Amino acid sequence: MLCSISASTSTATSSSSSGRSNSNWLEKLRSSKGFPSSTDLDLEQFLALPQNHNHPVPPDNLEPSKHPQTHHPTDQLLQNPTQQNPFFTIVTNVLAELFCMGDSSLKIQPGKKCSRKQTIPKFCLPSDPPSDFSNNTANYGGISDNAPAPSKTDSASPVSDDNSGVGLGKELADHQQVKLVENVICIEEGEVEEEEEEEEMGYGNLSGFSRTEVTVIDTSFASWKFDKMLFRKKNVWKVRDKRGQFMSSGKKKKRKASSVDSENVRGGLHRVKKPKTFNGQRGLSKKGSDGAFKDEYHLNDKSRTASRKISDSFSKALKKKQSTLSLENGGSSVVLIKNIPTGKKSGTSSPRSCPKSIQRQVKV
Amino acid sequence: MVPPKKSKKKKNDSKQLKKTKNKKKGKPKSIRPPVPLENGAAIDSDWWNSFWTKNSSTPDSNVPSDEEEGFKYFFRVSKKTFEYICSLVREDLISRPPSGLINIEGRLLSVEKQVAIALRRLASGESQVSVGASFGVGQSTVSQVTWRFIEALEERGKHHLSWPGSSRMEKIKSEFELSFGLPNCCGAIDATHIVMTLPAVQTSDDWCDQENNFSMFLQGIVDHEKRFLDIVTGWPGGMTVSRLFKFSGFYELCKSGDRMNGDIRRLSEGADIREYIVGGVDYPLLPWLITPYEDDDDLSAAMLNFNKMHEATRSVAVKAFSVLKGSWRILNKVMWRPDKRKLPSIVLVCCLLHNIVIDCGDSLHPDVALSSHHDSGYTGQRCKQVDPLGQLLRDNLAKYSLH
Repeated sequence: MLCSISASTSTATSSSSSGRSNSNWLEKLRSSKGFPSSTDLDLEQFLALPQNHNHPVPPDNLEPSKHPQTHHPTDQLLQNPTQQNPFFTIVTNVLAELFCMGDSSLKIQPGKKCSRKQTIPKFCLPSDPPSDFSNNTANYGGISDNAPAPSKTDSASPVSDDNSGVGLGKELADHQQVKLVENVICIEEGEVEEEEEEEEMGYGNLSGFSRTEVTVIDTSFASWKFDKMLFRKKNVWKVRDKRGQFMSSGKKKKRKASSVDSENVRGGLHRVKKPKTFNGQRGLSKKGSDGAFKDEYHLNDKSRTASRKISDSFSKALKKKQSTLSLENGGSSVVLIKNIPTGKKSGTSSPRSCPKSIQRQVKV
Repeated sequence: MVPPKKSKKKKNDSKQLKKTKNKKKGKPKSIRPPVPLENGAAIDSDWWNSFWTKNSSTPDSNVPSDEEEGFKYFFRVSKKTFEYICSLVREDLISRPPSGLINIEGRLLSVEKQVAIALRRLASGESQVSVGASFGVGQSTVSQVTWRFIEALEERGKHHLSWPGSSRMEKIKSEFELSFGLPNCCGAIDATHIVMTLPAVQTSDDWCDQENNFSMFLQGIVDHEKRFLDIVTGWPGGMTVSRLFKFSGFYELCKSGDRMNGDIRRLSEGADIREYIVGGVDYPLLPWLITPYEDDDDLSAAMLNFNKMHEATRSVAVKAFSVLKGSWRILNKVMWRPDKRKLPSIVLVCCLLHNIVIDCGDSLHPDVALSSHHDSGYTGQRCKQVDPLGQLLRDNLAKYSLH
């Protein structure tokens, strides 16, 4: 929800800040939503003004600012809840809803600012993630490797460069990154905890006991020879069956799993983005020249069939669209689509998902 | 693609051939000719002749002049028992040309020589080097042969150590009563420490016993002939004897009623005496494990008499451990950094050999010196656990002891 708001805000602010010619649709929108049409109106002044509208306004200025010591009208408002107006209640309600502040009227106390950090953080996925989000996630591995987790959380504290929508978008992306980091850390910690729990389950509460592996021969048992784990704490001795392969394999599995997880997280989208030709290269390194040729051959075959399928399906879809669009009444968008060339050649070259190498192979 | 590879292979092959040829020239023994056995006969005796001539003339004055007695002195068993042991492990130790152990002359070691090496190592407790020197083999051969023998006998000699069936148990009980006067007694229990040194990284308080030695426990229940009926080994010497006993399978079986559940003996006084074993003061007093009365108590005549009978019966176990440690001195000497996983097997095999000697009607050579106590330097820690049913049984036995 917040993200969608921020996206719209960013577009609005960017359009206004760019100083482009005021279009009619913007004025219409402003008037329909109850905003004043003048462009030079300060947003803070606007917020301070009592307005009668039901739509929640993106609380840009309520985002924690860089300099908390500077006094804003909103701060004054927050400090003087007696001056509450309907818009203020709306904003606080929205904030309360977003940041789980509970009853906003109870939370806001005179002379005290509400906490900028969420007490119970919510994970919010944006409907349209900002363009730099994927880049940030791609760079995430380096961050997680080098920087410790707490510093990331500190960096995640919403201290943005400016209050612009782009900044908010970045913030959101960073925020989400941090959320991801936190999640990963939580998983890792959870694994460790699980392991400890398993240990406790296996050996009971044996903290503070020394452990000794013993090989015992006892002729009273059917199998004379067996291994035991001996625990000692002063005069208290406890014997447990030696944890065998099951437990150790579990550990190994866990390590593997954790390593895979971390790789997945660190690798981010790299793994997904790996081209199929890499398999062929692997084969080359492993199987030698003959195997590599075979692999490449298979790959070429596969890529040919795949690209054929894609091109066929794409051309079919285009044809269908053409036929449907030709029946519809012409609009601006329709005109644009109509202008797209629909030849077979363009059809084969159009799917962007196909790597260029594959396309070349198809051409050959 | 294929032809050049073939040519490469050919080249490699030719190179390899050249290499092997060179090797052959340099070291003509690289391809071994079929190795003959030391003796073509079924039972090898050459090793003994060479061993006897080599070791009988040593300055050790205890070596008997008689060859038969000398055999028993060195290997703790008669030649007959020796042959029996060889027959037990022959299948596992027989040398087969590809993998058999070879002596210095390049001949395969016979089963007899392997058994002799292993028995000498276990009996003397001497170093592998000195044992190897007496047989004309290297230290590593002694090590390998001994461990192979232990593994083989551990499997093949199991039937020499088992809890007796009812008929045999009746015999044991009657023999105990006949010898020591205690009715329905099934055996005597005792424990000893196998002392060892440990590397610094393995030193743990768990293995450090009351005398500040690193040791491993061996607990055994013996019959009237000092034969081991049940053993437990491998537990660290840091624990008490009563703890060791409670970790044993025998305790579990008795507790669940699966052992010591034979015929109850009704005494003339009307008291019922169930099956039990006797143990020292470091064991708990249980309905099926009878310990002596404490000395510091005001003991009645019956109690004192019982204590005497009890001690006489229990001494069978003490003697058994003395014989065991005296015969197989590897257990009596301070082991130098043994593999704690292998040590229980060594202990078990020594117990098996001890029983085999008894089962074969053999006896220890009188010249073999035995220590006064198997666990010299260790004083028993009294266990204060007293079970009322055990107390009742002990009182009944004390009353009966006056008759």
